[in-house]
Amino acid sequence: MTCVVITGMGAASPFGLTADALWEGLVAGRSAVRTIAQLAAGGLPVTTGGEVPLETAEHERDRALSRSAIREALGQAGLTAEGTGLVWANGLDTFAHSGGALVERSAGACFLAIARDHTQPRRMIATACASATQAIGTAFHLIRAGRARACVAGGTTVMLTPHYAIGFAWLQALATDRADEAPGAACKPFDRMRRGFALAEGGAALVLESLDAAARRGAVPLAEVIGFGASQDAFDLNRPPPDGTGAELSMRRALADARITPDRIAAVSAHGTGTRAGDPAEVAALRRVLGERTCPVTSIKGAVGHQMAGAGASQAVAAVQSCRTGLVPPTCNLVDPDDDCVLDHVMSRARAADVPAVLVNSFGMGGQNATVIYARVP
Amino acid sequence: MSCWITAHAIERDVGRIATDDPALWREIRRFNLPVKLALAAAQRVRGSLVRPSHTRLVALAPCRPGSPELRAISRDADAGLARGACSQLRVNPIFTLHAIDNLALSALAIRLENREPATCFGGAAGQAFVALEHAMDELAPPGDTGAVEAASDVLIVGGDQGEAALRGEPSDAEASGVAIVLSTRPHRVRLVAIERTPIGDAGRDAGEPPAPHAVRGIARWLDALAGAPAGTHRYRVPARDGDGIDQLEIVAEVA
Repeated sequence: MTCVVITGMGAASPFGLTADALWEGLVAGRSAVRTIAQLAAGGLPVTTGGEVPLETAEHERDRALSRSAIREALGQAGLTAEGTGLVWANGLDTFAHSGGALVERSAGACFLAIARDHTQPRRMIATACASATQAIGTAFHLIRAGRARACVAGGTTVMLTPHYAIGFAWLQALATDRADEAPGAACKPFDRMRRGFALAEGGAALVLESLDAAARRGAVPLAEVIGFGASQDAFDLNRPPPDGTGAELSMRRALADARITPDRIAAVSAHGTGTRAGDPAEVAALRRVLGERTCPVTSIKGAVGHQMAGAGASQAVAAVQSCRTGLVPPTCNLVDPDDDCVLDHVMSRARAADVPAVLVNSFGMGGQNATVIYARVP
Repeated sequence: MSCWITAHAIERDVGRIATDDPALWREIRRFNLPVKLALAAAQRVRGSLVRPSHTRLVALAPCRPGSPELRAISRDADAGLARGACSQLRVNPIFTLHAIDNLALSALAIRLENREPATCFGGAAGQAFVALEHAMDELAPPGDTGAVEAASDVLIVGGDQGEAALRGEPSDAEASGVAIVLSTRPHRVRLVAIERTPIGDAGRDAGEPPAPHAVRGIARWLDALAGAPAGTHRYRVPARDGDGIDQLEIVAEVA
């Protein structure tokens, strides 16, 4: 079977405009979530978020964030868009101000503007917060099946807007402000005091290709993609089943796709958004999948916020770096794990470990679940 | 690779759903128009699915999501932002869901109690034909793809709306929902291939630009197939239904 490897990575995160900046911020255990002036000025109950430090016109921000991450990934891989497919997530349509007017920004139009530079396949994935992980898994399957030679996969979003802050606040998904708390502490995955996530923008891009193709070019593989699984909760439009059965199915399918047993998994990058309902459901699923063994679990969302459709790609960057460096970053703001969230959480500081494989979870609102497994290059 | 179209439905009349299928209407009336139409079309082909809970679902996000209610909320929010007074704004959470592009997929999975791997392609022009390509891959023998198991049925669903619906007008000529079932079981039409040829910059500049929509292009192809004689049927996708990057041709065998 074709071995699929990652040869390039790029990121646009609240820590900066490179994959290295994202990784360094995560390993340091810092939070890049802060007060967002636009939200504060609007008088919203939620004023914190993860903003990417990129100066650009508001109506061009969607394309700029995507292109920044893709450019970095292709540069590291030594490839160009021409001759490389694109499996990408742009999140939802949104609004931007242009020339003083409020204009609709179509995620589909943003995708096509970027995809135009690429060859087939050009696929836009839209499974909410599972999108980027699903995009990476889809690219992996296309290359493994011989349907594509090389693909850029991942996603970025620009959903850190007042409109989405209002909408998600009313869905009781966001961490509302507290006067006695620093903005960076808003999102507390798995913690007893968790109360939702912080909206964030950005995401990441990965270049996937066959090991043979990479070897012929003399490209250096950063990690291998070995499995992809997906499932649906079929339960509710905005909350998961408490027992995490859909999440469990997704993980088990990824393990089956990789032809490995759970004991090969050395670390988990959890979806871990810090919501009251979502975190315990994921923990319940992880306990059943991992069994009695301990396995370091981390979530990036306390540090960067929730990048929605782009989140899984940022998790992928961190997972690849864990395989390469043997470091698992801590879950920022996790101090006191809740009774129904007990796992071997990485807390306070990064943990050194032997990391042959990392399992990455992403779960979308509406019940789409996706899991990708990354492995150290043999 | 063998992949047949075993059923399809095109739904254009949202009013008909309330009259003909009140039970379905009670479930879907809170959704926005493209999702209502997509789910109504899916209901019409449900009987052709061997095991609805095990069918692979593929959704097409609306190219124009939202609803009149969501637009009104957005206008109120923008006015509130300008005054710094958004804390007073009240939002019915269901209207937030009208912005979510995978809403039809989520609702359909719940209706069918379907936990199988699924995907939703985004609201970019031409993704409908990507969905057909994806379905063909899903139905291919595992030996061809490296997959653990292949699907035996794929259900593609999606819906569109136009500006009229978003303005709250009662009729919208651009609104439609499509459901199409592809299967490994032989039927009248076998989907053979989707061929792509790059248009190039010159062709792009000279041709009609694509009109982004989720399913209207598939509906036109299905209409063309309906009257096709036996033999090979080659359908050249009109520029308005493509992605503006490739010229597409769909090859089918009609029995």
